Amino acid sequence: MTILQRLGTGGSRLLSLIPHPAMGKWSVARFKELRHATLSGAKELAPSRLDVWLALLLAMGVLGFLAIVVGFLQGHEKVFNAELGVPWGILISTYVFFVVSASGMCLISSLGHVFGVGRFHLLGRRAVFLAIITLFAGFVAIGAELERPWRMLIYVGLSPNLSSAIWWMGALYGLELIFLIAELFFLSRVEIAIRSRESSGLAAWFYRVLALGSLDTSEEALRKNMRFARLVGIGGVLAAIAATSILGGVFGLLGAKSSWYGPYMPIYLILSAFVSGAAILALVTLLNYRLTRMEMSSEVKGLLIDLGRLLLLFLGILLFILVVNTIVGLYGNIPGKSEALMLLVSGPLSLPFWGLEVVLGMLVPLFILLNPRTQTVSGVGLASLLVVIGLFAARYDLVIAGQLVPVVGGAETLSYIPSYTEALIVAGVFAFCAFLYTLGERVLPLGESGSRHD
Amino acid sequence: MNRKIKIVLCLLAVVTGAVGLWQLAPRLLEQRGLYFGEQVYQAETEERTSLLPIQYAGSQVCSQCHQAQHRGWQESEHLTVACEACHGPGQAHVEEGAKPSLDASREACGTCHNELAARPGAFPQIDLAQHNSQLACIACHNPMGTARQVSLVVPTSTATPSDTTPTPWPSGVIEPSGPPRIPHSLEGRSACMACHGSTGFKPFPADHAGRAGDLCQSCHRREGT
Amino acid sequence: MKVSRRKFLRMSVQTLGGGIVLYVASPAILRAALQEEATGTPAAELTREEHSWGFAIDVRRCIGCHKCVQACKLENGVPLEPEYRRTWVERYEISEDGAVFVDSVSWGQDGPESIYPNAKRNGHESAKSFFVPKLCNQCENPPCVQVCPVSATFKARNGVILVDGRRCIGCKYCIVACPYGARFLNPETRVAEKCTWCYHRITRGLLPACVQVCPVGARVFGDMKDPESPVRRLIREEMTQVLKSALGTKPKVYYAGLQEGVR
Repeated sequence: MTILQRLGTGGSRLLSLIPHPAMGKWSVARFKELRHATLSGAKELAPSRLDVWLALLLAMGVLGFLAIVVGFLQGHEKVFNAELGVPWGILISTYVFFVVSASGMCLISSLGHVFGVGRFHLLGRRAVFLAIITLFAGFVAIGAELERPWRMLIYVGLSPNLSSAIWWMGALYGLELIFLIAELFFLSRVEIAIRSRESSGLAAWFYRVLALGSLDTSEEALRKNMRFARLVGIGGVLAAIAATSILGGVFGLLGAKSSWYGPYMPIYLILSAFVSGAAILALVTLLNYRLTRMEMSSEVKGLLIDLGRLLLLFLGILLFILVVNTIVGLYGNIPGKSEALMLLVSGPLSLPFWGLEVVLGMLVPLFILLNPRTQTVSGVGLASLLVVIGLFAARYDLVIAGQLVPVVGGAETLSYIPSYTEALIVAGVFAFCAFLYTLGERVLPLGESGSRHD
Repeated sequence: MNRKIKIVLCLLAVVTGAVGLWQLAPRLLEQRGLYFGEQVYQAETEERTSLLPIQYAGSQVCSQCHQAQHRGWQESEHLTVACEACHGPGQAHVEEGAKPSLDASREACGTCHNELAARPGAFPQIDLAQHNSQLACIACHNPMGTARQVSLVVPTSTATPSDTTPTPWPSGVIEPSGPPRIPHSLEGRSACMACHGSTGFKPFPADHAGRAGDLCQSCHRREGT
Repeated sequence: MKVSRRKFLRMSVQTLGGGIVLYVASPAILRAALQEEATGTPAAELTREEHSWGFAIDVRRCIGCHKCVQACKLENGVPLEPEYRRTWVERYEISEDGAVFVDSVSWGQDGPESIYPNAKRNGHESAKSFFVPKLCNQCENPPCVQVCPVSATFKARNGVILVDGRRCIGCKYCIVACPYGARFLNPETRVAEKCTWCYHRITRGLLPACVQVCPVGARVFGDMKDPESPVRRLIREEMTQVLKSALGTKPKVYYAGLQEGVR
């Protein structure tokens, strides 16, 4: 008996209460049919170009990794600009960008396969896989910023501080990662098992390991898997909401930084999780079709339009609370808060704030998404790209502006510009992310399984 | 099989909840000492930190060997300045005989006595660039001189700033400066100890024990003089 | 060895149960063990626990000589580069028109930046100017202790906040969370570091090095439980305040003669 089957018999009655929303659209026979379609379709792709792309990404990722190693060998104070005065630099803002995006993707994909909303189940495994790798990329970024990351693994367990927002953040993002991996496993085990059976040699062995040795491809097993997927999916949603809230708490709980302090941060981050999640998913889905020159079904087109609408909704709310927070902060003359906001509005951070965060990342995408003439798949794609760039800048603004206001006398304003090493690590993390995604797209069943159903 | 797993799961949940409460409760009640493990490593860190070596031995330790200098210092304008403030940390000197370094340059004196707007007005300050700029401070001033004697003299030698060899200290007049001033009139108040005894209205500090009552005004002077 | 499923389950439950009982009971056992140890060595242990240290700074006395900064660096092995400091002295200049200028001269290897000159402020006539020494406030409600994810920083029994350098992961959250800028990341040890009021000195009955060398008695240290301690006397006789009291951190460094606007 496999582990899975044992688990299955134990919880079957409980599980039968939570059918998977997309259950009717998924069947083993369908998977097999699709598998053959993909296999024959794969010949149309240009594998050499893909290899070049992968090699480039890997090289960039390796460069970033070397920069991390250099950081640890040389000491962060020598090669990072985030040390004195501004202890948290672009690596922390990159971390926030990635983990918030991961939570957003987790939440949006769950709209489909946990809550059964509209066409979102089509995102399925691709969204979950993307969430996993972006979460992982976030961990790499924060790991590079920590001075002693290996100690963390020991002492978060041995001497946890339950009043620390960072402890909860780490624990909950860790939990989210576990839930997401379990979700991906249950969503794709049957297809992996099919691949294992159909291939031979190393590939068969590889897929067998991925399926944890469970090669049962009966319809019964699939149904059970789908129910488990929903169960862990609910867990993932809860973890994602909790983790993002407490990430807001990491900033919002600090009385010392009045520009961060307050309930704004968790709310803002949850909202922008939806924004960045929707944007990245739309962008990646579109790119996937465009680059492989696959034909997009009307359902996928509809999905992209839906993502655009979701993006429009949350982007509008996000712009609203950003405006409110900025005006409240400037109007109140609260020491520290108004100074930090002035840095964004008319200080050294005004270019990333107005140029990237507000105009490029919010106003232009809002215009594209609102204009009936650009409410197309390409329009959504372009808006998504701009939103992703804008949100990356927004994370930078958020993390840096709060720290530039000095807490002691000495300097009127502090300054921070990322060092080359820091920039290289950020580029490496992005490349690594893209590399893992491309690789995953190649070897894992991430496609829209139910896409051409009926 | 089914039921067993359920029972085990329920038990686990109950036990986890109980352990969680037990572990959380002290934190919630701020009775942090109850927390598992914390007490051990915190006590250990306290111990380790308290065992770090010291560098500054303290003037008391210096006085045990350098008795003459100590006496001179006690009666000097600089009696509020610890030995090691100018002579540098002395613990290595005590333990290994390493000679402490003494910077007797004009700049060394200037760290305290160079004129700065931010310094309290009553504190003795000179413009280092203007005030006998060619001479070492110690050519005229004896930082260890007794207050009753002299600290300001007409230069007897032509020592240059680089020449830091101490010269003999002749007598002269003192400049008004030093320890806290007396904020009240002295009329009819000749016996300081009446109010400032070991108990009294505003007792003398513990480190003044053993000083005779008629000595107060050799260091403490009337405000504004 | 063949173990039936039933037996295996029972064994697992028993092992788990045993582990949990041990885990639950361990604080009590440890507490008992530590108490025994405490009664065994009274002198050192008791004094350390019984004291509750306090610090006071008379701003009106400070002459900005930086002997304190120098002594702190030499006593505690703080890197000599000026930007790393456990204690520092800020110079405030307030002009006739109310503009506030602050600079902090650092003590490096060559002494304070060469007996630094009076600052020149274009177009502003300086009305008053003074020095403000700063150091860790050893808060009663320390934000740094609140935020440390691995409990590496904690309040010692005598009220001083310490950092367990072997536990610190270098996340720098405490540095961000400290409203007084008292913490920094030591580039040599690569862990967070801060003033401990010379914990190794005060537990030996000595004064903190900065207090020891202050030539004008601007820094005062003592036991808050002793009504005759210099710090209690200063707090009793002078009008004092703490920094950023609105944050509720309850600092234990009291300032006498502090100007409004010093942050």
